[in-house]
Amino acid sequence: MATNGRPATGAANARSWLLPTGFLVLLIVIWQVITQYTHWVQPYVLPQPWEVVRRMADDPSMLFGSFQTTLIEVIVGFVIGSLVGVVIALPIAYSASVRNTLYPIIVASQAVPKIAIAPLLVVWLGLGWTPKLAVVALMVFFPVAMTSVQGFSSVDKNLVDLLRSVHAPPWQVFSRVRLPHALPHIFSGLKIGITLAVVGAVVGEWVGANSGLGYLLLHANSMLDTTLLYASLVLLVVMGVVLFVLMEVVERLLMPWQEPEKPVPVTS
Amino acid sequence: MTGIEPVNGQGVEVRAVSKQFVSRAGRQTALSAVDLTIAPGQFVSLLGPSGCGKTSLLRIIGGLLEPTTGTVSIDGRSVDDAVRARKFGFVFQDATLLPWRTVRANAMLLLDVIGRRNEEARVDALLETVGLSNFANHYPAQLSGGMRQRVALARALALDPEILLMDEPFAALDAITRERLGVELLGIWDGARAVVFVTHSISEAVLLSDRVVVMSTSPGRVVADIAIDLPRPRNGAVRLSEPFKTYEDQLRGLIEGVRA
Repeated sequence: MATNGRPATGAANARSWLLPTGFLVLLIVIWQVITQYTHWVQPYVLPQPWEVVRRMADDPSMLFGSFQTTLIEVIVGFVIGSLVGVVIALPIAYSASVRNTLYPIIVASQAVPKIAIAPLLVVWLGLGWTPKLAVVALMVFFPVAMTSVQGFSSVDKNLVDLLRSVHAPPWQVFSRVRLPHALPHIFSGLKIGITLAVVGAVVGEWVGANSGLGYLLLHANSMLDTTLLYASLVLLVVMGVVLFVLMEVVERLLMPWQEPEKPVPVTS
Repeated sequence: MTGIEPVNGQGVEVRAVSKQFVSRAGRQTALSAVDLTIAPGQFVSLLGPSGCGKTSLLRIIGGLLEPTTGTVSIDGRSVDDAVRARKFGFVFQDATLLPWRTVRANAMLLLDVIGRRNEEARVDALLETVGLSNFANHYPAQLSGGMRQRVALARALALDPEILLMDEPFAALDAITRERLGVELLGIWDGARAVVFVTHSISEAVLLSDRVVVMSTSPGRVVADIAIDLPRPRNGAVRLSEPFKTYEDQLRGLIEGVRA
């Protein structure tokens, strides 16, 4: 019998959570001790973690209202960007001439700094939701498109030949072989995309907004209100991490046969 | 079993087939003027060193590759018609199973994609034949290499093909598993379908085949067509017999001659 490729056991899973959480808590405790009992750093540079938490508790409606605004931008922009990414990957994967035409353009489009074109998007699309969604979608679309092309076109040639040899309808080949084969690839793009989506929403808000965590960040910075700045930052991190973990959960549900890819320590 | 001539164009007829590939290195001739006839139900091995075009010939017969010149007919009709009529079953060197499908679902794959989903009972019977009944709900990652190749065989047989095309199906396995699977294949092959079996193992070819077609390299062509007149049913013990060794020596001589 060969090894079986089932997911890790519950105990191993718990351990993989415990270590980073414990380390983070330790860092925060050290941070709290240094800021509370020493005068090594000024409070406007590094506020006490406890003060940041108090700030969130003091003014929950403003912070969580901003959280909500940014979350909606992230999710809607992410959905648009990843849909466009997957859909555009199909003709690129299926046709060499489309690939030769679009691939360089897409790569070039990615070389344009999003923060540089965000003001332009405001000019084009106004100050409402759309420029933020556009920045988020632009950030997300690239990794999703790249990994989807990879996924759709990396199916074993013999497998495709096997299906060809029984005159299988193209739609069946797509839905039963190409799409499921591409899913793990697409998901690695989606996981990169979801973290970039948070960055995109913040960039979009910096250029022109009157709500959202990115706006709040900018506002707090201009007021030297470091506590508020850290509070917004913490919420952004929480949003990014939770969304990323959600993607991993969906990935596992959709692909129980597949172990999520984890980086392996370099040994040589 | 041997020496059966096709009746009114039944079986596989390869006529003057050549195949050239254009690569950066220039034009290369993989096959040159190959003639070959395979009667229904016949087990024919294509034996030769790497690069003799035996895989190309197999793929041309199965319609996965177009010949540059020459024709192939199946039961007197075109290869295209045979593909549409689902007369071919392929087994490759790698099992090419889908990791997200169980053993049974993998064996069902071809029936699924052509919309014949109600033939599960036959697939279960086939899994029984290849000795995988107890593993029907396992995933490929849980199987050994030999077991995976048995699933690939069951998948190819699920469509009840007239012609089974096998491209070095046991070459990636260890020697012991390879010999065992060869003998098992003899038990599974019922003589109801022709088999074209690409291999570079002389003893595998002798053990399995009614005929061994010896091919040479650059350009790939047929240098000998040897009928293996050993009684069937055969088992592993036939390897120890005198005639078996005589055939092996004869083929080895032909291949050495080819290389010289």
